[in-house]
Amino acid sequence: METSVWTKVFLVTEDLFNKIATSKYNPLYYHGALPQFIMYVLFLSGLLLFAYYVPTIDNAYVSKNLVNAFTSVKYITNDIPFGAVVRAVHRYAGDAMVVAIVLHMVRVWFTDRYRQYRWVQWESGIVLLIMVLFIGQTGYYLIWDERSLILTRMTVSALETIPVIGVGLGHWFLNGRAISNLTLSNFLFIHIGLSFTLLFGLWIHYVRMTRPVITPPPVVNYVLMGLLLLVVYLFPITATKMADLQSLTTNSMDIDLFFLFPYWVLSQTGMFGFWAFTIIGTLAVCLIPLPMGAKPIEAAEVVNTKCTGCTFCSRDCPYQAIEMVPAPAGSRFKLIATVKSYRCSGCGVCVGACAFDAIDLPNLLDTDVTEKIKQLSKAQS
Amino acid sequence: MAIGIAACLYGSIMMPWAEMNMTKENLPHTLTLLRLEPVADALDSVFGQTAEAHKASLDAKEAEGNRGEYVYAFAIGLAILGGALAVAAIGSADEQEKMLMPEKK
Repeated sequence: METSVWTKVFLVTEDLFNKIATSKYNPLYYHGALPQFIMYVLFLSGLLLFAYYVPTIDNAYVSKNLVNAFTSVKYITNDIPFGAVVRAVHRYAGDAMVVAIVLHMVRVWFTDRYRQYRWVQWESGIVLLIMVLFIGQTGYYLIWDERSLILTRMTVSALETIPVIGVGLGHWFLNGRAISNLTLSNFLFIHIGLSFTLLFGLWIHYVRMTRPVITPPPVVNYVLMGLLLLVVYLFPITATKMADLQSLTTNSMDIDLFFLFPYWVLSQTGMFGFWAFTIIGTLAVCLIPLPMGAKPIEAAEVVNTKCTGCTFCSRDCPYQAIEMVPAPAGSRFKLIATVKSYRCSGCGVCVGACAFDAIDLPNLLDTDVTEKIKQLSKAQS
Repeated sequence: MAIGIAACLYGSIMMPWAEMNMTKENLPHTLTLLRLEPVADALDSVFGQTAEAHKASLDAKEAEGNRGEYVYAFAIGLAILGGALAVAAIGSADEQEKMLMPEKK
């Protein structure tokens, strides 16, 4: 099979990282595991913030001092020991998660790992990315500063343009017909509830993989954490102004392009452009791999007379494409391997694992595979 | 590896100074009971000259919150990165994967 230009670019980049960080610590080999580590950082830092966060827009009746979402965030930042750092870590870890997911997605795309039976991983990955983006956006609403108010109003305006259900969606989003204390409860519920739902999404993402790499080596985690803390120092949290519900003017605001780019699109193109971008963009990412993934793959074939039922091929197959079933009556062995052709990627791992020449790829002889592995092994050493 | 260890040590020693908000005056009372003022003096003599630069940098960025906490983040980030560099230098010795080719029968 011919190697595409982009695949070559990735291979060269990987090689460069191997020279710098050695293959053992090459972050590109853990592109799928990095977002998971970042998720743990987000969960822990979020837990600390949650302990002091008050999800209301106005709680003046309870206390002489105004205690609401904005002032509680101020309290976390200025009065809780290391509150500012925890808040900044939570924010930049979110950005890092988007970067890591997009890197994962791009690498999976250009290394051809989205085809065939892997459509489940691709589609579930898109859903996870959308969830992460929405979780990040609700995080910006929770601060309840001027930007939060603008974002909330923009979201409600966008939802209300949807025919038939739009107004209802707007009310669901605000948890009522207008912004109230219940609105921030809803934002907090979405932010935390959806974050935990990520775990269920990840289960679906992994369900068809034999050995998903979900933990990077500690050194890679240390580097990521160290860089995150340096970013906190270089780009500290800055003070903002509390949202004023009486204000009807729409001021300009800082845009975090990692999470808030849909709002930038909305401000630049209007409602039609925003919905066109959102719907066409999402559909394109979801559907384009499907026709491209239809490229036929010739599945591995078991030579029944040679198979001893040792289970090596089944255990080595990364895609759960080989199932061990009871051997036919009269066989000397208890089990025999069978290939689920719809899951086979034709990678040849099973051919390399079999010590009895009992599994072949139709266009690739067992001896050729062994010879190729030996050549690569010699070339590396 | 030496650079990594040096960075790790530098960051680790800097952390308590940053935690005192970059001044020895903020030594917690519990630690004064342990007569640790000389340690605070030593830390201040090593890092004290950089305090103004850190403060000026964070002021210019209009940082919200305690300045010392951001410097603490810098120190711990430096220590973790240095440590990672040192561990990677040691760990890369067994970088090559051990490949066992099955003996065909």
